[in-house]
Amino acid sequence: MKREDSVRKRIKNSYILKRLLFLVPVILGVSFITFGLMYISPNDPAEMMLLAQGTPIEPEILQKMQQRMGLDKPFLEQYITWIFNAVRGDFGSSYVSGEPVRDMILRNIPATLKLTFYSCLMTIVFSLPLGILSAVKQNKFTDYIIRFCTFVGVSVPGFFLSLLLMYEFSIRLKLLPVRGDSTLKGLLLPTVTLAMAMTCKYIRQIRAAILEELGKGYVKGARARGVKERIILYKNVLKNSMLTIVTLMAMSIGYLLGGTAVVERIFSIQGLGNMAMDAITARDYPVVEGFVAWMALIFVLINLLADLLYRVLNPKIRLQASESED
Amino acid sequence: MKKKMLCMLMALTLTVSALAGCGTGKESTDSSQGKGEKASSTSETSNSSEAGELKYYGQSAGYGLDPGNQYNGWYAVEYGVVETLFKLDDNFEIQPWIADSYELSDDHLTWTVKLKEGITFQNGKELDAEAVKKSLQHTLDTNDRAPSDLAIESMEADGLTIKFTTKSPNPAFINSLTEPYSAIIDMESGKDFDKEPIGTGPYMVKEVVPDEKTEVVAYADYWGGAPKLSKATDLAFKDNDAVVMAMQSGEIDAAYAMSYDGQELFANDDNYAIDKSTTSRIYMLYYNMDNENLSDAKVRKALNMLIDKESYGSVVMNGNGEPATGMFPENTEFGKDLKATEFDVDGAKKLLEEAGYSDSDNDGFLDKDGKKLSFRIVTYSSRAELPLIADAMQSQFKEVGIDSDIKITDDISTALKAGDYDICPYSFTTLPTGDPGSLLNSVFAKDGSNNFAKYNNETVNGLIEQINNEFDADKRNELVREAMQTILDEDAFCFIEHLKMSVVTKSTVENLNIHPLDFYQLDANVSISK
Repeated sequence: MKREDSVRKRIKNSYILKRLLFLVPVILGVSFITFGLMYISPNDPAEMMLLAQGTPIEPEILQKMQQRMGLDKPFLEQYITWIFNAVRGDFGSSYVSGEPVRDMILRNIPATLKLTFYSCLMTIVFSLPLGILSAVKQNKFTDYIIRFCTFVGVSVPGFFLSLLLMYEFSIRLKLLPVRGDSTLKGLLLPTVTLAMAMTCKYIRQIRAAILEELGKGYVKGARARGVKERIILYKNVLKNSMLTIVTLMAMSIGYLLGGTAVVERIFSIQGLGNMAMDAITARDYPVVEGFVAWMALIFVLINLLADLLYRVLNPKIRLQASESED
Repeated sequence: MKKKMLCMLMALTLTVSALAGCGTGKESTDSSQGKGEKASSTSETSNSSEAGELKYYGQSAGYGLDPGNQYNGWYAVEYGVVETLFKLDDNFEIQPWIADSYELSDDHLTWTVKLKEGITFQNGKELDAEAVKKSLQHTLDTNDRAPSDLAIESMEADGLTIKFTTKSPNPAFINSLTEPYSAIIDMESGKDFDKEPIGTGPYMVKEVVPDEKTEVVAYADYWGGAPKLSKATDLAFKDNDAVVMAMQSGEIDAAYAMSYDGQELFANDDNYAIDKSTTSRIYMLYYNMDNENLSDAKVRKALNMLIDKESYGSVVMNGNGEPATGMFPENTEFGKDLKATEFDVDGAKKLLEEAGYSDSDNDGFLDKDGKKLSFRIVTYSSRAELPLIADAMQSQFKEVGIDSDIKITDDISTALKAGDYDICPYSFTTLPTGDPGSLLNSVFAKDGSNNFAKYNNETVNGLIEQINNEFDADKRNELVREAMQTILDEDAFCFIEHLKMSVVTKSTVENLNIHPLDFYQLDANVSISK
């Protein structure tokens, strides 16, 4: 028994290792594509910075800037230099502020992380009970009301909702600040904005997943055997529909950790979304590259985590690596 | 049953909130207030700051402040942290700041600057010529623009007197000392100059949080008298509407560069005040002289007659444009009393007819020698007004039978350098140091780096040469006006508007004004009352 356990553990570890190794080609590929796209985009970051300042652009000053930024070098040299430095943990410095990209990303992670955490929490707290309720009361009045609301909620764009919330709670009621800071109070409106669309989407998905499970044979069997409806629902159906919810969550978290540019901008929250937006508008290549690498990392890790969770939730699902090694 | 009730309740809140649209956050608000300490602090944020503390949006929150580091000096001057030897007044005239006076040697190479007495850095250290020398040397070593602008050969410090020797005669030398890169900091403070520069201004840096805020506090021993504010905080915003709402909710006391729509909300409200000032930023047209139609002065004159500057300023720029005559603002000595072609649609039609254009094929557009009169208008969008100006031009052109198509590019420099345009609406800050010389050289001189029009006029070239070597201020101003009038007489360019900039403040805020040079913001006189 013990031996079997250790074998299983080894298989699991090698699986994780394999998935992590997969990160290397992913990041290489993604960063190369980003680099290439930015290179062929017609704007020169040095020139854009000078143009923004508004005084006439003198060629000698432009040249000095380009040299400092390394833009005078050929494409491949720029890329290879970047990769070599990145491997050593040096992602370069922002063209705009001169701050090291690694510091910038680290500085911007906490706000995004908090926002992600709160909005996911709020989403689950609201969507799980309402989704279940909607499924249980299928085609009854409650179900219709919930479905109508979620329909509306999904359709309202985030920027519009945030402006409405700001108007109501900051200007009229003067309860919450327009500028979201990293306090709970400051993050409330942005959290609601993000959670609103997610909650409505989740309610519909959870409803569908539960309805599908409820239609399965084992539910009928259990009912026939006189198992209480509540036990069927919570012990079996909910557990089995967790797979859908985990998949959804994994995708949402990945997306949220990339920073939610619209909400972060409107509420002036300094997170990754804002950083990325600023970097893209200013053609701040090193920051964009760093951000893209971060996104790739997040998605690979979150997906890995989700896959591992699947296995916990449903042991029938095999990790691919274990099959090939058996 | 309880659970059922809870679920129903949740569904109900969601329903109500979704229907009400804006009520969505209510349930969460209540829950946060339930946590006690949150509720008590709410009123504080909403009702803004204590007396003597200003919170505002100044566009530079969190930026670095080292004068030597590219444009960071601009931000340090905005916060009143650092000061330059000389400054510019609202008419772009040079005034002493931490310097007292200057003298120029007869060979036009040595400038002797005397500093004011009794000025101290914010760490209590006395300001002397040696400190100025070290600070300027730092700027010369690190800034891209300073070495060529200042062209200093050597500096000699003695007590409160500093002697600058320039590499060649430079009439704009003192002007360059007003550029924020020339601001003076204590080089021996041992601090990070971008985060905590020690200057001579009324405010000291308390904290710089990148992308979030910059906080400054009063320096009580300021040489110009203790500042009235105890503290000022510039908060970062990334969204125009959020700035407007923060102003409405009272989170900020003032906002620079508010969107035009936003300003209208505060324009007729006694609780707020708006200060506006005409800057040296010009919105102008380049006419490509290589275009055979545009090489005809009559055609250019006709086009200039089609530009209704009044309505561009009031409608296209929403009242934030001041109709321009020449390239420089009219309140300057070198920009006044000029005459440009005036708006006259009938006159334009007549001129085009004289120049040989008529609609011979009845397609609604003028033509000459079988070729349609058509222009490529190329501009860029990072200055939001430019595409609007292009649109307005296009419809005005069409009215008299001139065809045009508009191209908005993000890469305007390449298009201009390649001559890949006919008419280009463009925008410059013309007087960053109050000196007209550098822009004249750059835009109008034959080999100027920004002479995208390929403009070449012997008289103008000669005048610019004279301007570069004229040290008598009155004579120099006269020469600049002569050059500008020559350019206007030829209709070689069109100078449409000077940009008006504004600051919206609560009526309790006093002396927070907008200056023609946007890097003058906070000073010792700004105050806020309850």
